[in-house]
This record gives sequence, structure tokens and C-alpha cells, in this order.
Amino acid sequence: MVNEKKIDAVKREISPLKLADIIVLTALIILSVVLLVTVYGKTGEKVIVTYYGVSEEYDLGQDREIAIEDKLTVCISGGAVYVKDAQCPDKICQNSGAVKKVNETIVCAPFGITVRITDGKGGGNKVVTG
Amino acid sequence: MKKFFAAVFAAVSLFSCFSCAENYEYEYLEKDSAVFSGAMTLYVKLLGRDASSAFEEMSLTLEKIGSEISLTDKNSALSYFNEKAEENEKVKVSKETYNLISLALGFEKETGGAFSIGAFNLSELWGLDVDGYSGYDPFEDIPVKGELPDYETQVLSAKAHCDTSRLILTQEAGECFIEKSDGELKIDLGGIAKGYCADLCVGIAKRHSLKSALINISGNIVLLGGYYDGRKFVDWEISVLQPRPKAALYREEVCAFGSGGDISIVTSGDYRRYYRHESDLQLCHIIDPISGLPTDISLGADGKSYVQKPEIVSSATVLCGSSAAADAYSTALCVMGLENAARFLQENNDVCAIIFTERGEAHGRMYASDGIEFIKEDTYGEFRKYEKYAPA
Repeated sequence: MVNEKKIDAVKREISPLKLADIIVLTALIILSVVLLVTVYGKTGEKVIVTYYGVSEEYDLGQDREIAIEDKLTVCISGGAVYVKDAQCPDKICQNSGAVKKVNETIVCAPFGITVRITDGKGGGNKVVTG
Repeated sequence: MKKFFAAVFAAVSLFSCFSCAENYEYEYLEKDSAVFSGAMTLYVKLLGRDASSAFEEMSLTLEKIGSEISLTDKNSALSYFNEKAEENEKVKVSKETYNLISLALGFEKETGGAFSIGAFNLSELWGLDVDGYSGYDPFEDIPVKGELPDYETQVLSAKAHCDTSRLILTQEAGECFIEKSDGELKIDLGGIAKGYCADLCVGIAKRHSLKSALINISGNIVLLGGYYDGRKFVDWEISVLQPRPKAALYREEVCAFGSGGDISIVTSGDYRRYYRHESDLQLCHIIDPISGLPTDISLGADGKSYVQKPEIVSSATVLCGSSAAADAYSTALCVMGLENAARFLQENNDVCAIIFTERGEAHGRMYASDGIEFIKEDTYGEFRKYEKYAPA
């Protein structure tokens, strides 16, 4: 009996949320959402298409079509990238729509092709001497 | 109580604004400029609030020193000193140039004469001053015609006027002067000036409290702090050019290593500035001040003719704290040859280096100081072709 009373007392101390707590919680949630959006929501600058380990970088600002053999066609249009014609049975990549934010990817598993958006700043730590 | 939490909320939102501002500040300022009518190039990547004023100050400093020590500009103080100054005539120079010369004389002692600023007479004799080798185009590969200088009558007599102990530095009433007790002495600061300027630029970067910087003065590289990739500081990745064939043209990489920064990296080699003589000898711009010959040839058995050395240091990349030192040592290591260079490096622990040698057009040996962390050694096919040299 004594124990239950103690537990009740502890529960009363902790559980009821005060208005102020709710304000702080809301503030924290808003803050984290803002941070997430600013860090991960940046529109990309470049797109890297990798096929069999060979990567090619393209400018997102320039509309073009990139045909990868007769397997699929990657389309850059209006700062976004999508897969147009995929000659694979599942067509998952074709149906996954357009990507344009940094680190967003489209993967075509059957052909081993990946399309990844970057901020175009990668490799800035590279220096050449000689 | 409510007021208290409102204050906390306000503080949190303010803090989030600040963190955004911080993020914005963490973008590199990337600039390059040709200083002193292209004789030197300055390429920088600077991170910090004061980046653009730091860049301005760096350009001005380089311009000032360049205009004083340039040998292509016939009106510079150093050109005057070399061409017109008479014996014991005092030539006024800036404090910076004065310091640069005394630093260079110190490195000459340390390297046992392998690095010297006094060998300009020899460079001119061999046609290996800037005017000389710049007439040769490696793409066209048209051999340079003409007689090579005679060893006894020309090389030895030019060498007699390369003694830097005949160079006198004086200070009077806060002003700096250089003079020579040998009227024929000519000095060339090309082997150390870029490094010295890079060191001055580091000082400027620090005064402007930059958080990270890459300063590249015509290939003399200084890294200040780590590289900020937008979220955190990471290591720099430094690639070394493959010295053969014709690295300067093809720009293939032979190896790469990582560095957390606060280091200077300078590569000297025989492959960028050289010419091929009609006798089929290849002559590089680095003069051995001790033998009086370009580092890739030696005197034949008859004591008159010249022969290509069977093995030469084709590339020496030096890593150390001071860029002036890295500049001077990288030249000195090329002059010393692999064995002596490795010994020098073992005696001077604060200097690290990667050295490649070539035997004709074939890969020679490679020596790297223990402190160097290679990245992805296996991806560089050419790197494995060099025989690793381990001094006894």
C-alpha cells in the first residue's frame, strides 16, 4: 500500500503537462523542422549519374537528355531530374518521379544505375601538387 | 512562469537565427589572380568573415615583394643588384626582401649548399633562367641548338662567382641594404620567394582570423586548418602529379595523401621547366650549385663531356610547417639525389617528403617519410611501379 501511494505521488509530480511545457515542446519541434528543412531541403546544383562505377556530373541548370546505352534515358528539365524511358520490367525508377533536392536519388537496380543530386561542392578538399 | 517560458522560446528562436547566420558565413571565398604581370599566380580558398579583405591584403603583399625581386623586370631592385650594382655598392631593399635573403642563406647552410640563391650565373650560362627554358615547348619537342658551355673555361669560372658568402646584408637606421664584395655575383630568389610569400599570406589569414584557408602561390600550397565541407571540418586530400611522362601536360596523379591542415606542401621536379638539347641531353631548370651542372646531367669520364645521369630525382614533394622551408628543401632534395635526401629527411624530423626517381623514361624508386598517410594506394596504378626505397 505504501509503495502504491508513493508511486501515485511520483506520477502526479511528473505527468500533468503544464501549458509552459507545451510551449517549449512546440518551440523545439518547430526548431527541428526548420533545421531539417534548411540542412536537407536545399535545391541541388549538379546531378551525378553513376553506371558501373563510372560517374558523370551534369549541370542541373541546363536542360538535356542523357541516354545510357539503350537501357534508360535520364532527363534534366527545369532544375529537376527524372527517368524517362526505362527498358526494365519493373520501371520503379521511371515511376519514382522527379528529384531536385540535395542527396535525393533515383536508383535503377536492374541496370545498376544511380542518379544523385549534389550541391556541386563535393571534392572541394582536393588539392594537386606537382 | 509563462513569461519565463516565453523568454526561453524567444531565446531558442533567436539562437536558431544565429545558427543560420553562422552557416552562411561558412562558405569559402574562392579567388585567383595573376600577380606581377603573371610572374606569380595566387589562388586562394578562404573561409571567414574577413575573407575578401584578407585576399586584398595578400595580393598587395605579393605585388610589393614581386616588384622588388623579379628578375624578368629589369627595373626591380634585384635586377639592379645583379646587373648594375658595383662592388660594395649598397642597394636598398625592403624589410621583407632582407628577411627573405637572410632566411635563404640559412637554408643554404642547413642543406650543405644543395640550395643556394647564388647560382644565377650558372642558370644563365646553361640557358636555364626563365628566358631560356620558356622558349622550349614540350608538345612540339624541338631540340634546342647550340654549344653547351665548356666545363673548364665556362662552368668553373661561372661557379667561382656563385659564392653567397660574398653577399653582405646590412641594416642602418631601420633601413635594409644588400651589397656584394664580388661584382659578378648574381642572386635569384625564385627558389624560395613563393614559399616566403605564402608564409606572409598565412600570417595575413591568421590576422583576419580565418577559420580555414588554402593558399596556392604558383604551386606553393599552404593549408590552414581542415577543409569545411558545409557541415564539419574534414581532411584535405592532396594529389601528387605523376612526374613522367610530361606531368605538366597530362596532369595524371601518381598518389594522394591526407592532411588535417596547418601544413605547407611544395613539389619541385625536373619535368616542368626543362629543355632538350640537340645532343639529346635533357636539361632541367634546377642547377646543382655544388657541381655547377643541371641536376639531371653529370660530367663524363673524360672530364669534358656531359652525360645524362642514370637515375635522377624527378619529383620531390616536401611537407613542413614553413612554406619558405618547404620551397627551399624541395629544391635541395632534387639536388641531393635519393640516398642523400633520405638521409637528410631522417636527420630532420620536422620535414616530411615523398620523392620519386626516374631511370631514363622508366620508373625508378620512391621514398616517403613515415608520417605520410597515403589514401587509396591501390587506385594509383603508376604508384606501385616505383620500387620502394628503404635506407639502411
